[in-house]
Amino acid sequence: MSHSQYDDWLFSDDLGSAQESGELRQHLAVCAQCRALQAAWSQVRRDLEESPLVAPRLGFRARWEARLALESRRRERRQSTALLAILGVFLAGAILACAWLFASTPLRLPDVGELLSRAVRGMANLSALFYVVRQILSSLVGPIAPAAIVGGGGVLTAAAAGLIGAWLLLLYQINGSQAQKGAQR
Amino acid sequence: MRIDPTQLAQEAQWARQARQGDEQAFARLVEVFQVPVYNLCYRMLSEPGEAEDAAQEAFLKAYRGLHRYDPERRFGSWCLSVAAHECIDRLRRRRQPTLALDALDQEAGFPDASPGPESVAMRREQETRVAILLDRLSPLDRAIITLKYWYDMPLEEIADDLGLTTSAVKSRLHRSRRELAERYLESASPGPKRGELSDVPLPV
Repeated sequence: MSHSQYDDWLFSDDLGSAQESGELRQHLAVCAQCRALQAAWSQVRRDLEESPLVAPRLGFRARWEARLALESRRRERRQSTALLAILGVFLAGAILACAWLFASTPLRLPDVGELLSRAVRGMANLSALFYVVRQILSSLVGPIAPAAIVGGGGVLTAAAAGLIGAWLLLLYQINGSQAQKGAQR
Repeated sequence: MRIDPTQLAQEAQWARQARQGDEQAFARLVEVFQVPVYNLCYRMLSEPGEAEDAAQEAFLKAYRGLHRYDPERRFGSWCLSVAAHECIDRLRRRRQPTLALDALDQEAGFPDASPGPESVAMRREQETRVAILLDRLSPLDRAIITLKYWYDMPLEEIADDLGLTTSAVKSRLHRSRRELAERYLESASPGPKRGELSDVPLPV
């Protein structure tokens, strides 16, 4: 039998048959190196099996919770910074685009007739839009007074402006408080 | 690891709550699994400070990656898998072994089962021997030996946890056992150095 077979048996979890066990015993009786390896492995295995579970220092959970809180704040800060950066890039792009359009268009003063014509067309468009909205709302909830539509439109516009303002204020406050905490640390 | 069905059901419930965003439920899981996870990190990294950091990081990664957790699986086993990968990454980043025996003696939280000075000394000696033996194994082999001997995990579960095949785990386990025995022989006697023993032609 090859020597590697005995080697396999020495470090195997289960030795298999009684015959294999007997063969290994006979081999160990004549092979000093395998005997030494077997004794060494027995000792190492005993050490491993007797070695207890090691506990962390007291307060592990509290330290983890503190670390989670810190990590969450850092993550929020990164996210708000990224949002502000995206907003900044968007604004800068818009400003650059406007500047490019302005620069590429020959500067000329519009005459009064053209301005009046544009204003009339705009009013006509608004009137058409108002008519469509009124038709849709009337089909849904019945007849609606024109003043209610104008008032509702105003309220919705104000609410949207308020939400955008609140969002920008929140971003500003998050960044400010994170910067303050960072400075304290 | 324990197999108390009530405890398992409780852990599964906390894991479900944690997956729904309940931070306190996950903190309870941290409380329950802090010892096994820290022990794994300590056995793999051999340094109490880094083991604490790795265990904390492993729990953070587990918390952030709860959407990847399969509820059919035992939560403790999944946590150990996350911790093992964290330790393997750290060991691979190390340029050389950094076993700190002083730190090992002073900071490790070994349970004080036998308070006699002689027993304590023997325990310390045994722990140091284990740490030195494990310190030279490859990160993956160290994880396999730790999961096998401290958590009594079946080879199939170890293979699942480490992303290996069962036969690869079996082969690595065999090789690691031989390596540990050879190292033990080296340290026990001023005889042949590492590698020399396996180079000696064995009698047939």
